[in-house]
Amino acid sequence: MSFQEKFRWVYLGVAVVTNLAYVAIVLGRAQGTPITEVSYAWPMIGAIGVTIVATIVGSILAAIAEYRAGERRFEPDERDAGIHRYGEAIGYAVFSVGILGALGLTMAEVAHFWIGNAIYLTGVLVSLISNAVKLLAYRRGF
Amino acid sequence: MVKPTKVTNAIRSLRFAHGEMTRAELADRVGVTRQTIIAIEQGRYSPSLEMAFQIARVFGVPLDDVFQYPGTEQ
Repeated sequence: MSFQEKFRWVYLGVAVVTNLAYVAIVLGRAQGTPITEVSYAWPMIGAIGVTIVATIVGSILAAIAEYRAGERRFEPDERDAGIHRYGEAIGYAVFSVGILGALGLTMAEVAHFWIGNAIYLTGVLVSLISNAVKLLAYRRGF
Repeated sequence: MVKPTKVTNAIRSLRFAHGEMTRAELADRVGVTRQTIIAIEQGRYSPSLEMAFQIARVFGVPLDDVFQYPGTEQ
């Protein structure tokens, strides 16, 4: 497994954990309170921040492990670049659908909770799906 | 999903014919990761024309001796 592929796995693992934690916190706060009145901003900022920091730390640890295993090339080659473009193209399609949904919610003047979370969900799905597509391309061929 | 390549290659046999060259060594000389060489050998990735020429140059053979595109006999 190349470092670039390992990096995708690190991100996927971190994103799944942090976003499940975010959902658990928000649902926990919604006990006995209408969900649109739940304070979601700081848990969301925390989930984004932890995802970024944990992905960076995980990538550094993965790079150290690769270096100790004898790997000396960490920059993407043409296959990595092609797989990245392919995954990003799929992610852009997901982004287009998600952002249209968020726009629709805004026009319908629903609570900020739903708009904010629709945008957040779009970002999460774009990252998860594009990275999953990239990992499939690494495994099955590209 | 992207369809797998129809391009076949003789990289594995050429490596063995050239002093049992390792995939890591070939990758190093072409400037790609070892995993990319493995993917090409296994038909999971079709390299760019430029990389194909670089691989052929490492073995000192024409491009046709490394890569083939079967099923188009005229």
